[in-house]
Amino acid sequence: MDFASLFPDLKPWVQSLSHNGLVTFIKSSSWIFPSLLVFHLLGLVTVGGSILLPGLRLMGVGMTSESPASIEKTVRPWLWVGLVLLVISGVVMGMVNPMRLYTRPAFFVKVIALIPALILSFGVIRSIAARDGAFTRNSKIMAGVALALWLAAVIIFGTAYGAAPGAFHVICAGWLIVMAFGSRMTRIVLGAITAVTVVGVGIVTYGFFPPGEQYDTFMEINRWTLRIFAVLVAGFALWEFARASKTEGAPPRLNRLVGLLTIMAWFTVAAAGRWIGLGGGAS
Amino acid sequence: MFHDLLQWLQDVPGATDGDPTTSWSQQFVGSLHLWALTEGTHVISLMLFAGTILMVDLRMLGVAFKTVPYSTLNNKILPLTIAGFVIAVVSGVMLFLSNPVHYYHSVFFRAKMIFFFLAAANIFWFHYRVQKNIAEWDALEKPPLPVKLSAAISMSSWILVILFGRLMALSFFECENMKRGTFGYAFAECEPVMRAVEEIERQAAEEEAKAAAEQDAAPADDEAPEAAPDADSKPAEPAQSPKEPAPEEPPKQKQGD
Repeated sequence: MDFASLFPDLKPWVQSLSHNGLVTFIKSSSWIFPSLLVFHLLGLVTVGGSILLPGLRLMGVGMTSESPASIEKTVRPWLWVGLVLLVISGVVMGMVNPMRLYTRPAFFVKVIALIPALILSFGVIRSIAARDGAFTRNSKIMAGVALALWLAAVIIFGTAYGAAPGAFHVICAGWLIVMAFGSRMTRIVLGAITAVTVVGVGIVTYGFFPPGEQYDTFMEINRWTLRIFAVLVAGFALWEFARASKTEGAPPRLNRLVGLLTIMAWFTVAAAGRWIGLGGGAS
Repeated sequence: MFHDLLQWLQDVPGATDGDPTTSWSQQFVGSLHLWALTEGTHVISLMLFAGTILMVDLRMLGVAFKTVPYSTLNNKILPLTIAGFVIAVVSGVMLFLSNPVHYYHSVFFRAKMIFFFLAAANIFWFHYRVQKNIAEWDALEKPPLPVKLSAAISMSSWILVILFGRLMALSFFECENMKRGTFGYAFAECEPVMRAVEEIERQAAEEEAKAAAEQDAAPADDEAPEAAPDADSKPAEPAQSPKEPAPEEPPKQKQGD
């Protein structure tokens, strides 16, 4: 799924985006475009720090001595700095080669994942942080919409031609969070499952379906392994962060889920963004 | 010194029948997704690694988290930074080994490493000197100058590491695009690279001349002797060819992939 197949009528408009003085100016210099790439990356870093700290705090880890409200308020200007860097550099780079974004599924995934990321960071987290962790009806609805959109983005990510391998990063992010902040038992079980899966699938694929001879089967096994593994990681994450915690002073489960979802949504945006360049597409 | 070792690393381990195109390095570069996934991991791990270090640096500068004691960030956030650092370094080393000779002679890789080691030295300085009297400034809104200085060095060197790292993916200032005698050419130790390129060009030219000579030899015998001296005179030419491409070409717009 990409913008080109969903909105084919927009093609002339998208093509016209690169016909202006700004793009001509950028192309006339060998340094402007690389500078934009660097600013985009620095923006990503700034956003990374600004979403991780409040997200983790809502999950009940990280700087637990501070209130979610104070952390959210402290990082808010930096989240804006990062977003402004990302959006300006991103839009200008997009104008240089708009057809690339128009035709690539990874860009579509990125936009779909960006919506829940923004809803969560600016809508839900801000609202619940300001109310000492309490949800209003609106923030519950926003969180539900964000969850649905993020799930849609991840499913498109994992199945879209050319972009699918990038979903690996999303699975990794979830796996790392569970392994870093899950209970001891969960870590042992998930760690063991991971080791057995990697070794087992490695033996089966390279032993019986070597990529040089049975490439399609080899890839199909890997694909389904990753899909099942993604569901498994999601299950462990839900088990860890969605059930009522016995730990003293742990945030309510809805808060923990919102923290987790915010981090996952932003990492999905980043992973899909990276895959615009790495993965191919219809074009 | 390292050139030969890295050339060996790139060509030999994993190679079957001494064919360098089958080495682990080449298999990794040629892999369908593994290289791209490693590259993506390297980039995305920056959100965790550099993103959290940025927040710690801002606290040390007295810009953000002013009311939070530094030790809180040190104990709760720095472990995340270290986790991100491990991911970035492991993926980074893998990427380096995918094309070691190229990166070793990359101006940007060398610049990146300079600031990487500056950042590392700063960490040691901070850890063993500045942090010693932490009790005195832990809760201060504006920490003393050495703390701020350390944070400023950290922030600027990591920004430069990221900057040069991003530029490594672009084809500016590759040895083939630089003139002999320029700073970049010397800084990246391009001489062995260009000598290897010239050697390949010389061999190709020789083979071409030989093939041409053989072809000519078949229809007309008397033309063959002329072709032979021509082949000998060829090596002089490629020596000048690296100078031909202008160092600043019109934008290549490689766009990072």
